[in-house]
Amino acid sequence: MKSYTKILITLMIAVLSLVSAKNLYGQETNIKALMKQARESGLEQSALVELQNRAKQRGADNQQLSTIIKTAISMSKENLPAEVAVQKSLEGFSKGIPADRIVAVVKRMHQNLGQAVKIIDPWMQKPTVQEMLNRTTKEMPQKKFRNELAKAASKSMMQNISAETVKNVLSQIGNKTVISHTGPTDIVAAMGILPDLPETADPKRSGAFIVRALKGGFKADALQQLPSAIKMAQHHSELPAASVLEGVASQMKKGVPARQIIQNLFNGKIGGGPQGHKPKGLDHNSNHGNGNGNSHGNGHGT
Amino acid sequence: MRFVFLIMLITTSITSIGKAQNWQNLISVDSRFGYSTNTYLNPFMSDWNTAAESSYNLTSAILKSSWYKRRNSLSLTGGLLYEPLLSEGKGWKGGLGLINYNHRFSNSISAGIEAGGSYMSNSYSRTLFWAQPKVTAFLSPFTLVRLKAGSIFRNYRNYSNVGDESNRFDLYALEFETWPNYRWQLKAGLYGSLDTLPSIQNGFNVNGSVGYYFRNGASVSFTGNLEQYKTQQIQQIGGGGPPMGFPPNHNQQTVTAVNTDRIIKFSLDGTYPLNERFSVFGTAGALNFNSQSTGITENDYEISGGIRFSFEPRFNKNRGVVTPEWHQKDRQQQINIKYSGKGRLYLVGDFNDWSRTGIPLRKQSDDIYVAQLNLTPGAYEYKVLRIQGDTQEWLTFSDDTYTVSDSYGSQNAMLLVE
Repeated sequence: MKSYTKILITLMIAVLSLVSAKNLYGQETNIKALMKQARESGLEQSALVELQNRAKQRGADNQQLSTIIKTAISMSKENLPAEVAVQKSLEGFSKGIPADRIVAVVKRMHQNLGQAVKIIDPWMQKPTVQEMLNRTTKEMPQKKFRNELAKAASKSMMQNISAETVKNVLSQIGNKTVISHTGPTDIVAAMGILPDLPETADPKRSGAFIVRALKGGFKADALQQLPSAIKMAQHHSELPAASVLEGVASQMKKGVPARQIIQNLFNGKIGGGPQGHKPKGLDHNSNHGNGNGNSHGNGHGT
Repeated sequence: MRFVFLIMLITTSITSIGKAQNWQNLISVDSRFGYSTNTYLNPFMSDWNTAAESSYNLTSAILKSSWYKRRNSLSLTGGLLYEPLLSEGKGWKGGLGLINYNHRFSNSISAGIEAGGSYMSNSYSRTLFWAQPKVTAFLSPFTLVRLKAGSIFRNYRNYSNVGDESNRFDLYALEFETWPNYRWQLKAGLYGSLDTLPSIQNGFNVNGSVGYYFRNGASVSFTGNLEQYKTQQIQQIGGGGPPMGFPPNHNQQTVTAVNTDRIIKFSLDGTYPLNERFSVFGTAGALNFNSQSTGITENDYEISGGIRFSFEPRFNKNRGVVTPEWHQKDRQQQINIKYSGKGRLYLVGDFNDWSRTGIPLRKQSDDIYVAQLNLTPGAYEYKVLRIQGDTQEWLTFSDDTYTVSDSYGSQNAMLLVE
């Protein structure tokens, strides 16, 4: 190789190095500026530093990190609970989720939270809701309640519950007969279990069911037990979800206490419909014998 | 030998299935004493034997394991039975195994298969195997119609001094069940042999029952049952000479006589739960047998009562499945986790920015890990991390724990602080 070729290659490498270093410096500067902006928009400094460190450790590039921070800043500007984006990213990095997947989840979260607050904010202005919030300020401050409810609603939307169903459920919860003996934690829990109820043909049915549960005096802890208890009852009875929900709704209507209903469900009793907990062959009808034994069709021998 | 094999098979099934995650298990130990004038009325027997009029005991231990995911459900049942006829001093012993799979195609249609086998042995032994595909249509949320059709293979050994006798029956079943008002249950069923179709009257078993369920879990039911079997007997009348001789004797007449046997049965059953694990039950039943051609009429009855102990064992507590329990203590939230595996446990979640070296769970006593947190009202998602040496593992939450999707394809537990 001739010497001028060598010089040319060396020069090219030097130029390229300078360009990439400048880019890197530019990106670092960009991240620093975004971090500052995020802090100014109310995000916690310690969480942001942790996010930066964890992203670096997990091999996320500056582009991915800046997308996350930009999303959080946008959320903050839109008066959405922006810390959720940071928390979800921290969770993702902690669990070893690839950065591009984290970015996708955070973006979707932004979108769903935006949709959720559009429903929640006007709902919170309803006199019945305001009355409840004034009554329960000590339990959960108004701002916190709004953000927790938005998180729960957006989670439901992320699991294919439509904005219309969320709106419908909240509208029913806002009725005086329901909200007068309900607290903020109960409402957050009720919204949270919406996507966890067994699949029904009509999501409105799940919504109506949740409203009935609140009306029937179900508190947050009992509400959280409902999805697994219903699945257990469905499992025992082999009935479709709609039937189980209808059975439980009937128990609620009849005023059976929440704790008793949960217990019944775990025991496979849905207040109507076949009972569980009875292994086949142990039923007392002697003609059932051992299932499909001699009693069906082969007569009797002596 | 067969009995030993059955015990081994059932024990293996209990161990392997019961220990698997996402299975729910129920063990029932059932013991009853009764008196019957015909073993046809005895539970699990269903063999016609009026000579065995006796008081009896039936003790059974049965495990039912159930699995459910989305639209599929599967249950496996296996158990051992011992039924001594007290006046004879001899006992029936054996076991049974059942598989029931169901797939829900929609809210109104499901289909699946029931299959099983049983073995009972005394002075003779009886082995049964059956498989019945089934289709269930829900006419309304609490009204169903079910159609089943399949085969039963039956084998008797040493029965009436006959070494080995095997039969196969192709059967159908049409069942109806409805719950008119959450307390009352009405059931009806038509069972018969496919060979008799379309002339159902040649052999069928039709039953109907009405049950009432009380709020405390007690129940009472009344069942009525009619069985009818027609048999054709070909008789040779007149003529002489050797039967089937040659040339044929034209004076001989062949007459077909139809004999109709009917059994009418009634039974009254009741169950009363004493507490979560114990319940008592009783049955009283009677039957009337009538053979039209012979004019034989016979009445039999049965009465029995017993106690059942049932519980749900948790086989998987050592397999990384935990059930966190939260308590409020001095304005702090305290978490208790029962875990008997090796390693150190950490609480990782919204409350510590999902830091893996977050909140250590302190081992308070054997298998109990504890941590206290000072949390403001709100919803918190979390997981439990086990670290042992270089190994880090997220522990799985039990079905009893309230979990939510983490949007990354896994589940987080959720704590709501008021």
